[in-house]
Amino acid sequence: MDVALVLTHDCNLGCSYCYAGEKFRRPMSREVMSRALDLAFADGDGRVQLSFFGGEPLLEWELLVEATLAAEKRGPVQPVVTTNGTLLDEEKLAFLQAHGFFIGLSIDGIKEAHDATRPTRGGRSSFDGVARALRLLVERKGWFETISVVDPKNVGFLGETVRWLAAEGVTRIAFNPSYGADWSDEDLEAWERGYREAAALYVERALAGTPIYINCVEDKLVTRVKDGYQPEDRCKFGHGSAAVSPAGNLYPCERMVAEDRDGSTDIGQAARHGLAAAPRLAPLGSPMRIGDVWKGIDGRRMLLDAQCGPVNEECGGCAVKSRCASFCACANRAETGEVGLAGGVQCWHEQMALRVADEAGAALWRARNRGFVARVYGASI
Amino acid sequence: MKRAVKPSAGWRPQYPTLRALLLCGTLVGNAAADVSVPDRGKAPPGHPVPPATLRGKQVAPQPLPPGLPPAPQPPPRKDEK
Repeated sequence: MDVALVLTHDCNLGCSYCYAGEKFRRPMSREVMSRALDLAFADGDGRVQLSFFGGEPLLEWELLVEATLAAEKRGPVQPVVTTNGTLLDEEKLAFLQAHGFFIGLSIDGIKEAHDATRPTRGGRSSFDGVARALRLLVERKGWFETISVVDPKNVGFLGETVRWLAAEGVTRIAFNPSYGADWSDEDLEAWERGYREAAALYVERALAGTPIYINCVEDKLVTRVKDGYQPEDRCKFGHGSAAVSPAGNLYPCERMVAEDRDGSTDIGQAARHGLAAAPRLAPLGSPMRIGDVWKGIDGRRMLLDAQCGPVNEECGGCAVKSRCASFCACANRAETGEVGLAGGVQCWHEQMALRVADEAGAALWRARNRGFVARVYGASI
Repeated sequence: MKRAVKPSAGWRPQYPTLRALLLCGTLVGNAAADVSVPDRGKAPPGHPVPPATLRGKQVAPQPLPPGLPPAPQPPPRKDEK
């Protein structure tokens, strides 16, 4: 089973769109970490993807190192970390590289874009810190991609951002839409302009023989090439993967963990850990909690399964439904509050991204660009 | 502002699917015999997944539409003779 360890709820940034809830220091215990690894390797089924998430996972660096080394002793592992980069230094990067980490660096773009959404908790700019991490990753040839949240506050800088990242030497750029934000018509127009600039860069780089991965283009091209998303492409959402909170609760996705502490508490955990621990444990009533590291995934996952979708009746007549990512439960929940109900912003985004990507695909196919065919078709012509 | 879900009437992309390429025999070399679509597109945004060059998955054989010639078959491997 793939697991994402939320090492702490704490973070040194105060991003405007953060879905992780209140920041507070509660590192994962060694016992929870060990139990989580038990769960990860229980089925002995090939390589385990071990992801580190937070809060900011590098705040718990020693724990990350311990978990990595412990996992490697148990079996084949593909470690991944998502970080804001502000604590990344040469020594840490050397460890991550030595252990084969894939690194997701959260950076929302050029300084104006980044500062609009990702200040420090004290309200200051975090740009210099993350830009330093970016340069370090490029110089040391780290295996990484940038993750830029697209939000109304920064969408006007999208085109500049993608060109700047590429100019800095980034070869994998991922945009992560903030579907739950309040999007105006003007914002959406800016979003499409930004994606068109990204697509233009994608084509330009492919034709020049220096290809670049941009998720909003290439991922959508792949959905055309392989006749839509396939069942195995859908997020596992608790099937073969789980996110582990610092307290040891399991969630179907790291985005669902949030604060992991409000509401009523799990009596079973309170009994194991003592009533004093109860206030910091997750609520039984938390609709997204699907178990804990002591008992494993329980029947609540099945309740979530029944809610997944999209269940929108309108989608039944959509010609591009098979290429739409509205199966993503956390994206749906962010916009509509329900894991199975897709929202209008995501619907607009998916159709826009598909059209823009298809235009890029057409241009590269007309040119019979061999790099494009190799990357997207996995073949040669 | 809350937005409504609006189904698309669709459009015709001007580049082929992999299945279409296989059917018309455009792929060369070992590609037609051992083609796999890269695993990209798998992770929704915000969930970093390592590039999956080693995690490509086989395209399941599809039945040919009636009236079309069969897709070209790769030459038998030596150990299959």
